[in-house]
Amino acid sequence: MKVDLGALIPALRDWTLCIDEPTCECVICIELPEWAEELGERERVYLALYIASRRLLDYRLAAAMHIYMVKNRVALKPEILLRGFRESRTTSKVPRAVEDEGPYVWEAVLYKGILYAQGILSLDKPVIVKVEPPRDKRGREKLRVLLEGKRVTVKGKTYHVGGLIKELGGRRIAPWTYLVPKRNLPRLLGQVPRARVSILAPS
Amino acid sequence: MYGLEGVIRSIYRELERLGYKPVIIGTYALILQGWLPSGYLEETKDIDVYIDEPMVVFDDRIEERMLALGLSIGRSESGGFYVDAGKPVEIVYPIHDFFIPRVLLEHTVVVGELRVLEGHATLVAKALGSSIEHLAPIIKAMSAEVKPQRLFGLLECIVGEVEPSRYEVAKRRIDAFIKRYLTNKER
Repeated sequence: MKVDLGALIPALRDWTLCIDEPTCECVICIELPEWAEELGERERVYLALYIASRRLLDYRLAAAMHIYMVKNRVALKPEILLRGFRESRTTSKVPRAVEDEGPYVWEAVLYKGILYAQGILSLDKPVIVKVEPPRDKRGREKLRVLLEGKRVTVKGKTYHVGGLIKELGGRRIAPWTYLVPKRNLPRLLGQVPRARVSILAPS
Repeated sequence: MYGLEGVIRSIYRELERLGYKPVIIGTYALILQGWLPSGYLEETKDIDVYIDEPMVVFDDRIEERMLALGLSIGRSESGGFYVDAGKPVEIVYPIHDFFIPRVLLEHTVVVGELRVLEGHATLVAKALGSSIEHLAPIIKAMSAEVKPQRLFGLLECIVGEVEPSRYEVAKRRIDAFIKRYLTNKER
């Protein structure tokens, strides 16, 4: 089984983690103990990510584990994680990120990873965007069409075309006020002058 | 204080209704047992209610129930639940491998309908995460009887459940606590 870590954390692009395939060419290979075969696929991936992040003490791997946990709604009892860690084998093409062996190193790595993961996860949350329209009627209409699109009628049928907000996965909640996923804000700011946009409530 | 206790009791009851077995831990557990003065609550960031179930973080019913109680609920920086009860109440759960050893959770007392981690077990749980030495004179002043042998006994119980290096650090912290507690006792 292979896991594309870049899909979880962009910083780990081209990193692949494989589970129970010791002869492969992946960046990290985890051999889980035999009892782990009884776990479901998602649990096995989560366990492997835990083992990898703890062995390599890399906060990006810890973040990948946390994001995987949240997106797949999977969790394991700490006893299972610790047993899996003790009884598994890891082969890695990358060195440990931290060489320190102190008792709280892992705790610090994990906490940093969780915060990093929360930052990435929050990109999917919406923010409220208020746009200040131009005063002149033509500029105002042009901006409205850019943001909200327009209706066109072809052979008696009406279609809604265009609309940057819709394209960005957002929606209009009030005149000149929109909900837009935080991840897509740069695209909005690339097309609407920054001075006209205020982000009212980042969530 | 009475209002806060009432709100905590409501939160606790809702969690029980959802099938969980919540336990009050941390500083508030010591306050409820009279080991720390109630004014010490001002020194703490929040009140911790522990649920020994990692999947609790995905239980959307908790948010619904807290809102139904008229409480505001949000998420902490680690993704757990934070309930605004005047003082923030954090619903703590095992997050990855951060947890309270189950053997400690067997040591609870009931204070006004609430299951509370017993004083000695609370100190051992605290020692796994931070220094507890500074609590010694306050606990002594409250006339709470701390039994060193009981602390060491509980520490022995968790030896197989935590990493050896963390165990050693916790042991040193408990040693320092006892030393200060006994020194204070003689004065």
